[in-house]
Amino acid sequence: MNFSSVMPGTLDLLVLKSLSLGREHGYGILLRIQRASQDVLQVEQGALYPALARLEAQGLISAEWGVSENNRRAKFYELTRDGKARLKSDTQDWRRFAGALEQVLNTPSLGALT
Amino acid sequence: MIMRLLQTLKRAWHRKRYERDLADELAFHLQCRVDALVRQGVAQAEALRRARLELGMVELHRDAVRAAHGLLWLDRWWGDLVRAARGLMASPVFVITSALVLGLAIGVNLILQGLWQNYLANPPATSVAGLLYDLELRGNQAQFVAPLTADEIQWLTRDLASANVSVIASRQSNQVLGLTPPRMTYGASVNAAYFPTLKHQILAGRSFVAADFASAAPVVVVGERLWNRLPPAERRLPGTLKLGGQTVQIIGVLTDGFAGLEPFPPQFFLTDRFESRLLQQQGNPIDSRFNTALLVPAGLSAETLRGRLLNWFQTLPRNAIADERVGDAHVLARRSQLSAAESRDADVMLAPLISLTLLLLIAACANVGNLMLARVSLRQQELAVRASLGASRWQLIRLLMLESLLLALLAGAFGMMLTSLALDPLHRYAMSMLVAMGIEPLPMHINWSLLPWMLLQALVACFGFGLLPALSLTSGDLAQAARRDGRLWQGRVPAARLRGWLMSTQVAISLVLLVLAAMIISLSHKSREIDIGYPTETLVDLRHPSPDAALRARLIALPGVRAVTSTANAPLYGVVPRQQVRVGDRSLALGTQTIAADYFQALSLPIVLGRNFTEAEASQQSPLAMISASTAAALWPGQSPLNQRITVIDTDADGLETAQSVTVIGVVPSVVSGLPLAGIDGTMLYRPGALGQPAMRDVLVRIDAGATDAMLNTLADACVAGPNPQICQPWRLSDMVSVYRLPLIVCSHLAAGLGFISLLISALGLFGVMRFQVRARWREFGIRIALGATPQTVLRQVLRQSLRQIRAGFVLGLVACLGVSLLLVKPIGWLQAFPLLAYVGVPTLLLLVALASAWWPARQAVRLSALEALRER
Repeated sequence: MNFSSVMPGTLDLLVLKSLSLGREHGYGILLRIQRASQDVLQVEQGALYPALARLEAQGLISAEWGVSENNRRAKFYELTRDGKARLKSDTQDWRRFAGALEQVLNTPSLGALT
Repeated sequence: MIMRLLQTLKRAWHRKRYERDLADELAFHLQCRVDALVRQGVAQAEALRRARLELGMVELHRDAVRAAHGLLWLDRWWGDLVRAARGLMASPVFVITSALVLGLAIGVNLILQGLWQNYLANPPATSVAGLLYDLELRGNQAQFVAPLTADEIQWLTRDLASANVSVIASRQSNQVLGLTPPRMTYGASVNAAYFPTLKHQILAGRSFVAADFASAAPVVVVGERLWNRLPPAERRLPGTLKLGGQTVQIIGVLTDGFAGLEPFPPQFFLTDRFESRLLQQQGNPIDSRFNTALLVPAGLSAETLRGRLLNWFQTLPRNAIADERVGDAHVLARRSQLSAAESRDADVMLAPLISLTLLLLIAACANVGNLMLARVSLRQQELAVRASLGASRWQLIRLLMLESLLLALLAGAFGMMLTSLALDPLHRYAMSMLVAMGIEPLPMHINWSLLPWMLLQALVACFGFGLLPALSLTSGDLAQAARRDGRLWQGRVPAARLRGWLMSTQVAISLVLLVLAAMIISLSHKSREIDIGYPTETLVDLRHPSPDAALRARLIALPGVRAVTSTANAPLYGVVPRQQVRVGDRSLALGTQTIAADYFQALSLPIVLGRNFTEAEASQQSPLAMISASTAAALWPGQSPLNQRITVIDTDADGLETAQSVTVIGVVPSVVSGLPLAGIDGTMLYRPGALGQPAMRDVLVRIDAGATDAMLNTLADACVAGPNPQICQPWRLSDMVSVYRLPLIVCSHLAAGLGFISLLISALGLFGVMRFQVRARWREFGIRIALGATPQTVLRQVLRQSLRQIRAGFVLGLVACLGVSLLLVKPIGWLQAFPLLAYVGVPTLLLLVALASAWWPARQAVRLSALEALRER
């Protein structure tokens, strides 16, 4: 199994988390995720922009045009209040799920339970 | 959801900018990646190639972003809408026919809706915060009790003041206006709370103040219309006006259209106190009763108020509510300018009309649905090609439904235009009987709140005519249709059968509407044939407030006057009062009228049996009676009624009965005494009276035949010529009959209009359907003509086919008509159940229309040469 690309359904959470660090353009979000995961997670570049559009349509992030560090016109995204709330609840859900998965994987054998 | 839709629409509106931004964003991403690779030592060209490979297909990403923003969905719908519009533009005849058929039905419905809104949907405007309630009183047997008198309203006002409840009272007060010619004019008499609590605008001067009520001052507030009718020299404030024979002072002018709590805007307002004095001077009994509304502060429930009112009624003096004891008080929230009782009447009147127009809409939908089906027979290949190219059934249904929606909206717009043009003229025409009584209804303007109603109707119509054809047409094997001459629609409901159903439905509904119209028209014609029994053309009722012997002498001296008589209530002025009588051991109610000795002579009625009252008997009100021939036949069949005795039961205000035995001395022909449309009275009892007695308030004058309106003015002049000058308004009894017949005439004209529209819808629908059906078979006709069939044979076959399609509708419609006829005959006594015009004329007419609608397209088909027809695709 290859976990280098993000798991389905987790991209939105990763985008929200990376934007919680501050406003950023699409390419910057990509880099933030890669760096934070120490290059383990590889976000498909094509999937990023529809995810941003989806989150923007849901009102979880807002977008505005600005000037990038390399002096180019870029679209910057920012977390909204709804986005912050969503990030909090999704993070809790994810932690509960990951913890449960961890517990199952740490069980020595199913026989020991019976 | 709505915000997201608005965002999507905003993006669609700024589509160019959106696309540019999307391209810029992806280009920026690409450039950032290229810069990163170059920093890693990759050559510029190689870096660009790798960045592009990593990013993947840009157009796919764009599509995914557009989809996330809802733009793809919008694009799909927009594309379908454009295709639907193009599809409709390719069939202009179909579009025009369908829009006309539906638009007529929607328009008629909107007109009625407009009338309803103008009268029943505008809540009464109050200038004080609170809820407005109507007060309705019921007796111990739950019967309606007459409303309150001015005194009772004053007591009630005092009693409810502590609860901050305002008691608003008003009543219709028709008075003769001293303009030239004198005219009975519609006004209102109001109490002190009326103007302070209701929102009104004073154009000039002032409205009433407390002092006007306290002193019963002869003051009047006039409406703008009446003000404009005054001679310019008299338009000043304070000015004077002759009203009900009195000179009154005009103190203020209200802006046009203020109706207060009346159904129509009164042309003048009087204080209740002054009106009482005026009625007293006119010799009328002062028993003015007022419609009462209560303005209740928020927080006081209707139930609490009702309880308080019932307690208050218990405290009233025994004779306060003169005729009956109040057993219950209903407190009804007032939802419009009309009172609760008036609203009920209006609902009762409008409900059947709205039902009829809904029937018309159903017929129109069936018709257009049929047109849709017929039209798609010419588009089966197009649909099949779309299906072959991958269009799903849902997409095809969506396309067809969008066409239906566009068509319905077009029809709705046409209906709206029709409403804006016809609403006011139709309202004015329908209310013309009120104008004859001095009431001027408000002009009707199209209210834009009709727009949602129109859209709703269009939407309902769209599903009504579009859904069945769309489902039916896409349920079959579309691949079959791709083959030329392949048969389409082998689904669950074959199109031909569906067409038959739709055609039958609309023909049946049209037939019901037309037969109903014909019944009402024949009713109106029948009303013309009512024989009143005396010459109404030459009889004039003076409507004088206080007639006396001097007036009679002045009138009889006028050239052209043949006779003058008096009666307690002039004939043809409403329902004849009925009195309980006992004859032997039988108890029954007879119509009664008190008349002067010369009454029958003035009406040119011969004495059939016995004799008339003498002058002495009349002035002494002797215990004698005369009866009509029908009363004699009913009470003493086969016997002489002369010298028979009838015991008349009189009931006083307290419900105490007194019996008086009267002797029958004569018999006169049976005539119409009450409402003209009620026909000849079955039972009538005449009792003697004389001019000058309190009850004898109506003066009847017989004038020469052929007398002009100038004669009526002469009679009016005679009223004001004596020592007791009083304005009177002479009315020919024939005019009275016309006024009473007017509603029926208006109804018959409206019914004829509805019937005509229904016929037009049928004709247009049948024509459209036959045209498409014939078009679809041109090739077949070409082949048959090429094989030797004559055009006449083909024509006959088409006509036979069209008749087959409407046969079931005829049978259904006629069965429904029989049901409706039998339902209506009972409540409308003299309605003919099966008039020839309705049951022979209408089906014949509809048949002719159907044949003509089919004949035209069929004729076009057979005029084609065989070669042209075979070339037809």
